[in-house]
Amino acid sequence: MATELTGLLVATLLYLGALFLVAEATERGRLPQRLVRHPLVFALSLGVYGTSWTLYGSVGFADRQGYNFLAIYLGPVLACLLVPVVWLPLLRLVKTLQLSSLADLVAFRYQSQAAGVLVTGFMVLGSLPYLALQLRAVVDAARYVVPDLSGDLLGLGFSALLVVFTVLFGTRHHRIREPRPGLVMAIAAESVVKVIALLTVGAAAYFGVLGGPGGMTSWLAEHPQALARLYSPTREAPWVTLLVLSGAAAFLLPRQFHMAFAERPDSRAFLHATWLFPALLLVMNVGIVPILWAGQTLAPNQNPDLYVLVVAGRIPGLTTLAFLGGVSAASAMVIVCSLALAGMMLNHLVLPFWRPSGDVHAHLTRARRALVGTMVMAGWAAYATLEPTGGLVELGLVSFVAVAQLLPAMFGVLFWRRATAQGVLTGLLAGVVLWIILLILPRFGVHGFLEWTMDQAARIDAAWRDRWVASTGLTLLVNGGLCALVSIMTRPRPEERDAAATCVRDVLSPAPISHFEDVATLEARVAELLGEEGAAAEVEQALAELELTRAERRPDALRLLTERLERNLSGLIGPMPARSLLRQAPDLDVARAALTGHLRLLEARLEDAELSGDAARVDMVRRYFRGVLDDLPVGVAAVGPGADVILWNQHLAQLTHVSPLEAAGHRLDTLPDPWGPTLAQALLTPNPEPQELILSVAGSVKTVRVGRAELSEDADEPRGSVLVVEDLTVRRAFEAQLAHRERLASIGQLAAGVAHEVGNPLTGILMVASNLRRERLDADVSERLGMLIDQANRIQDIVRNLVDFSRADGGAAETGREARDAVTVREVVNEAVALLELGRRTREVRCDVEIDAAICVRGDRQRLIQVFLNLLANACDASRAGQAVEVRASEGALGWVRVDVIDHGVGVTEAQRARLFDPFFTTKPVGEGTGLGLAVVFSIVRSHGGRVEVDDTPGGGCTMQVFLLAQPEDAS
Amino acid sequence: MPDPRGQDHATDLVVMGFGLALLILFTPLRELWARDNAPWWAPFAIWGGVVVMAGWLISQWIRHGD
Repeated sequence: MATELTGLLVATLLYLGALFLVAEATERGRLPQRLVRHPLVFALSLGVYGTSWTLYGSVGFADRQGYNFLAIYLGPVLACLLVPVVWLPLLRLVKTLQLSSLADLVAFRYQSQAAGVLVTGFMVLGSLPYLALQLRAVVDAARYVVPDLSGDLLGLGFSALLVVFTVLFGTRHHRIREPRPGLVMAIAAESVVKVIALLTVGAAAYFGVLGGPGGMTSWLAEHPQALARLYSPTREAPWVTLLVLSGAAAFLLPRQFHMAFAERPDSRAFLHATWLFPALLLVMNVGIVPILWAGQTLAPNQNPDLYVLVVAGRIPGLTTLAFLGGVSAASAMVIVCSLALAGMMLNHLVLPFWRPSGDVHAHLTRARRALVGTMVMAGWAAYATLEPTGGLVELGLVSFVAVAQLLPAMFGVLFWRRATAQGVLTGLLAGVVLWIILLILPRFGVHGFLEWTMDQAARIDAAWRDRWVASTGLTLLVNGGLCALVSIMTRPRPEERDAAATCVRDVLSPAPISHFEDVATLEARVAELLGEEGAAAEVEQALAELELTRAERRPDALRLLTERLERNLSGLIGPMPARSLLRQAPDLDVARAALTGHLRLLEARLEDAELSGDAARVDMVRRYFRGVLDDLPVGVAAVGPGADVILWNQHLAQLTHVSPLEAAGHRLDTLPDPWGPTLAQALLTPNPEPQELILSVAGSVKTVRVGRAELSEDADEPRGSVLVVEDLTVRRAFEAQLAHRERLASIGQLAAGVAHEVGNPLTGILMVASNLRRERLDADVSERLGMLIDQANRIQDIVRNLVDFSRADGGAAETGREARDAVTVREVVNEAVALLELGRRTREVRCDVEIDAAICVRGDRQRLIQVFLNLLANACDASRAGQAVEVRASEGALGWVRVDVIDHGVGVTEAQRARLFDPFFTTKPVGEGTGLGLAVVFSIVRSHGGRVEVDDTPGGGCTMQVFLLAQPEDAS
Repeated sequence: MPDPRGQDHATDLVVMGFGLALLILFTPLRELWARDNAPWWAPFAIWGGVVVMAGWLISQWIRHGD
């Protein structure tokens, strides 16, 4: 006996040690991530569903109920078909809200701490029979191998061992919120052991005991009732009940919920579980029938729950494998179940009454370890107390009926927004009471109510004579009925409505209203629970996740931050404590301010939302109107009642260089100068008529027109205003240019008239004066006549310039209508220089012309000579004696020729530069210039389709740059 | 981004698959495979068929971009 006991003990310890190594290697990243994240690993981890009930109890269940045992696994198969449409939304919800258990989910959905407490208490109570089942299976198996063992002592020892391993597996780290891939890997490894054990024993039964296909056929021929005993129960009412119970248990059992959702698997792996998990269950069960028939053949008087060990005993070493399979199944269930329940108890039974101080994470970890120990030992107490009747399966089904009581609450989570906390609490409470009366009290020797119920119900339908049909039907009918009735009679609170909207993936669900003015006050509130260090870490993490900074003060950003912190803290302390810490009843002002932030958040969430059906079509319309707003050729800003920006369209962003992202959520007056203050002022102006404003923006002048419209105002919801900003800069510049040209044209007409009217008499005066001078006159008269002729010549120069200007300006109005000859720039400039040298100044100022003879422009040769004559004359006048005026030309890109006339004289000021080309503007002393030279240049060049620019010469002086259209000489 | 129409189609397929499995396993139609003279492996064959169907359904779901 001692040898066998030692063998089992060593095998168990080695097995659990190996599991620990698998978990440790995974946590330390020693296993490839491809393996850890593989869908098969996730499906195997869901195999925690198959407990010692599967390994040992299924054979006993098949012996009593035939193929009804398959219903326990076909229920999850059916449930798995709904993974994409039911499980996946649930996973997204759990991930988004950082929920860690079913109690968290129900408490969040119904915004009720009481619901969390009730679900937790009920799940703890409902799981005790299941934990007892695991211990009983292992103890029975050990006592089959070593018959003289003490069952109580063995149960206690195994429980203590499981406490140690559960703490090591699941609560080693302080990272309470984070998934534990090591745990998932270890549970997956346990499933592999279970499958191997069952398949091996099944093969031993099929080939070794029954003799393979031929032997099986012979065996069935000898036992003609065997198949009928298997099939006939499936045609009875319990089949359907078992399918419903197991289908609910597949994702509502605490351990299933924990592995499927709380460990936050990869979505791809999750989806593949739709077929991988059913396939795994199929492989686990395919050997059960051969084992049953082999057990009936080998030991017809033995407890059928132990047939696996009976068959395994025929092959050396297989008994140990079968025993380890049972240990594997039991330990996986106990570890995951106690971890899940410990988390629920911590969040819903402990933390509402206890706020740890100091290192909160460490305190929570220690508390969780204590709760894990409490849970496992409570399972042992249930094992020692509950009356062992009806085989292993009976205990499991008691737990299944318990978790099925959560179905009405889950219907409210996933589908029915109208379900209220009162309805769910009433229904659940009634379900719990009935469950205790019908299924728990009989285990303590209190009988009668179930039998009475079955008798009464059987009058309506004989199917209710089955205890599972009656207990399941009655509890669910009362629970669901009360839940529906009370929900209809009561109204969901606003926070319940919000939570319900979030649960059914309504993207329009709002973020909480933040009562915190800035990040520091928010952090101070969190510090009340976590201490300063813990609060700082949580706030930093939330800020990093949202890509915000500590300086953030925007109301909507603070809302998002509060929401994220609440979710993160939910993973640590549960949703309700997190909510009560960060939320308060909203006051009116906050609610009003929240409107604008709400709109922005909804917009942001809609951008990322995956909508379908009518919602997608409505969103399409929203995007269309949003596009229209963005593409309007005017800037549009919508602001809330508090002057914070709700909408900032693209045109306004281009105009102001403030992006919608930078503007949204900020008060108008906090936006960069000059836009922020200007628009804020426009918002405050009593007169809503459009105003034209001239702003200095980055060194340039912008003219804008700002209009305002008040949005219609509801009694409770002020909507704010819309500002329309129109950029008039280009239009005003064009209008100024047009007015200038009109003025020039008028001057040109005036000049032409004056030249005509003055020129003819002047010519006469000059002719008379010249004739008189040729006559013999005394010296004094001759000198006076000379003076008269000089002044008349000066008037004639002015008249000629006026004529030139009038001609040039007339041409300028029809830009590009000059002659299209190819003109060699060097020849034109040289001719201008030659003409200029006839004057006095050029003898003192040198003209250096460096122009390639091949450079040609398109234009009128004579008029271009006039251009360069005027420019050279001005340059010479501006230069001092001995200085040089340089003329250079170059062919640029895009068909332009640039000719620079460079002087090194006094240069021009900014003020002079602005008026340099205006007619009659001159910097020369009175009597020395008409002020028409550059105006003529400007007009002629414009009429050639070119332009003139002024620049400073490095070292002093002025450079006139003439741009003319290039034309190859041969193209003329 | 998922194609809403494709997703709707995939959802329809999943619901239809679930309905078919429900019809075979849940309703009295199960007597078609749960006859007394049916081979012992008949339920496992049905089960295998449901697994294959689930695999196909999920491939359709993934293909439509969830």
